[in-house]
Amino acid sequence: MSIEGRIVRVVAVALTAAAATVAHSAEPAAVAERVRVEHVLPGYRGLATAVDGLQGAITGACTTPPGVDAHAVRDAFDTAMDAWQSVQHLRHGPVADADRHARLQFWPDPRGRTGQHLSRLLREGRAADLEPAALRGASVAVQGFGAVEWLLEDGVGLATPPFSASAVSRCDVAAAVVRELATIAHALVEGWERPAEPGEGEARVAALVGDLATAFQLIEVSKLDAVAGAVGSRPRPRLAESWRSGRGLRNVAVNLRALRALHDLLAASVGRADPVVEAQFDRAQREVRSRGDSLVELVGAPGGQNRVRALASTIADLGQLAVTGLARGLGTGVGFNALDGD
Amino acid sequence: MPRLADRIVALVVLGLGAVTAVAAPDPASVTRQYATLAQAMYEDALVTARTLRAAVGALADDPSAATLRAARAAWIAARAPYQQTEGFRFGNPVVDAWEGRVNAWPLDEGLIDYVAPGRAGSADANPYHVANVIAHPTLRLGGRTVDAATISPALLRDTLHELDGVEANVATGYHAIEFLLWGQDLHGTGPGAGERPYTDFDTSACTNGNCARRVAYLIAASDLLVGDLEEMVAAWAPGGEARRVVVDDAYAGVTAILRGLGSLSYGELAGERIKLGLMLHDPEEEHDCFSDNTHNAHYHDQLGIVGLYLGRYVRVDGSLVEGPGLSDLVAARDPTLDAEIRRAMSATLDRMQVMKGLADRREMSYDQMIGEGNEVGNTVVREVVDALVAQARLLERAMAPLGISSLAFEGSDSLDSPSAVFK
Repeated sequence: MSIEGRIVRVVAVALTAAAATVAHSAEPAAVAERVRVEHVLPGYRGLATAVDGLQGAITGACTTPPGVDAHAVRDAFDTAMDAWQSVQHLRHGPVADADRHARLQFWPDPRGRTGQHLSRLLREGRAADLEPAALRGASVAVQGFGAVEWLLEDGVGLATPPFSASAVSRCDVAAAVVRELATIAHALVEGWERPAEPGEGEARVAALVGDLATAFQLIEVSKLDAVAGAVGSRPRPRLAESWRSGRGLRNVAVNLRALRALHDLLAASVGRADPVVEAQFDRAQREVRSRGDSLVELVGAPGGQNRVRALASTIADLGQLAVTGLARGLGTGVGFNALDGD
Repeated sequence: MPRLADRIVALVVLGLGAVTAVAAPDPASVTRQYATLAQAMYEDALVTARTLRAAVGALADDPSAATLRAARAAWIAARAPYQQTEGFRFGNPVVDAWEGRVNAWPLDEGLIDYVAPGRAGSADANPYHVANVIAHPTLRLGGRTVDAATISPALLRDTLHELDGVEANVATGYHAIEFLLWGQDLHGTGPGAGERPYTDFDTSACTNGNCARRVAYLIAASDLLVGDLEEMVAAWAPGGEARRVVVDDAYAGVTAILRGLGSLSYGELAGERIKLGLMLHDPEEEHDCFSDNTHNAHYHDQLGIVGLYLGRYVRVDGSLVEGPGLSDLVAARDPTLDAEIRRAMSATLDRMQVMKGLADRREMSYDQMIGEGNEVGNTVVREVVDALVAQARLLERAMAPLGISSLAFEGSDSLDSPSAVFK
């Protein structure tokens, strides 16, 4: 297995020399607090609201005649998925507890565990398996946005009758999964309502920069390059995030908006709005927008693999510029990942 | 039991926690010792693989419960030294480029042989997940017809392995052989491993069809394994390419050592091989899933990590290969950190031992430990993950005293790399 072929997050580590050189322009605690109030909390509040909306739409669709509310459910799913993609990059803090990040979304899933595990649950599951404690302890592949998408978009439909009289239905599973999504989203809001303790500022800023770096790498490596496939090989549309709902590029567009917002907040705190980075954000966002919502369509079109690779490389350059600039400007002593936060 | 001896040596050395600055060894002597360890470890992997090849030959000549049992035992014995070499993989491009041929995992085993209905792996992304070459003398592969009438090493290596660019199409290496010797483990997260009958290799009373082709596959895969290991022994022998890279440039060599240990600890072992399976509660995510040997696979990985850090290795024949290690370099510059790393590695080994003990005593196999609702088993495995992550963090801190300015450890989507912010 070549390093390039592996779909993993490559975690880069501290550039010790670069970090030591720059003076602090702002107290890390103040920077972290500003990000908490202006970025993290609004993001998680948006997620909680959107997931509540999805819960309502699924309840509606499951209590009215089949097909009636299909569009309403899909709209609510898109709204919730947009809200999730706006906070997907945050990997520290309460979302790191109890595998919450993976329970919100298990992905990448190159071996198709989502379909396998959900099929088994629909075949063998009973009502008790959908109770909160049981579902929390189940495979992450039957939880979160990936599971909801599969239930909505695998071509069979939410309203399909259960496998047997005693089995759980798709509606039962969808409702339970979204209920847990709501529980997690509200817990994240609650967890972030508390301001940081004195002395936590530096570690929080370090974690934010690490999360930013990880997010850029996830887009480059897993969301784009893996889908383009190796040079000389066929594309891999089924490795695309959200391939069933055809919104792989829409996810990336939402990610970039959120990453830019976080970057700009951090950069502003040290008075380092860098026109080169801003121009690169403009370029990347323009490039993504011009390609539509569906990565599956893009990569399958003539010349599509190269377009996806080009996009990956634009975003990789952007990430490199943005993160290096921040690490230097913030003088956090941290390069590229939350691993070295302590 | 040589493995017990390994452990005692490792613990004794790790336990010498005296925090005193010592004279720094020459970094070049550390990377030379690293290459010497590599040569010894791959030689042991080769010797035990040759024993496996002989046992496979005996099974082919005279299929019986006893010869199948002996072949399985030889496979398990061959895994012990090989797993200890895994610390070389991520730091050394020569090893990383080669590794997929011998230890690729996980696999869609339906490419190779019959599988149970509905138990055929990653259908979503792999059109060849049930190609079953053993049952098909000709194969339709991506619009062309492939002549597979003769099952040869070349067919496995050049045509089937990573077919269509899909990594799950594993046709060669330890896990392909493991699948042939054990068959699918259909016990889920309950007790029991694969139960392939020896008659699957008996051409005169063949079960499940195509026994001659199955035997040919097993022999071809075993021959390839031996050949691949010969290549890696040569790569680390004096004049070999892998040795040259780390010995010619001691800075690059020291970086390779650290990167290999950190990446194996963190992204590969803690993340992809352990945490992912734990979060999915899926026995298909078990590293040695056919044989239920995963507890040993993980344990020997850690034993190898310890050995590479210290510069010592207990050979299969019980002899000791010993010299300056990364530990000595770290200790000369930051003795406290070195002591912390050794303590952390010892703690990981202890937690691995708890996991291994449960499996060795047949109280709980590894796939049972990661099963849904198994609180005791889940906790045992989670503690291994936590210990590996802690060990990786400390290894990362060794960058500064070693004068390494920039280094990337392999990560994993299964690890959120949480910082200590909210503690």
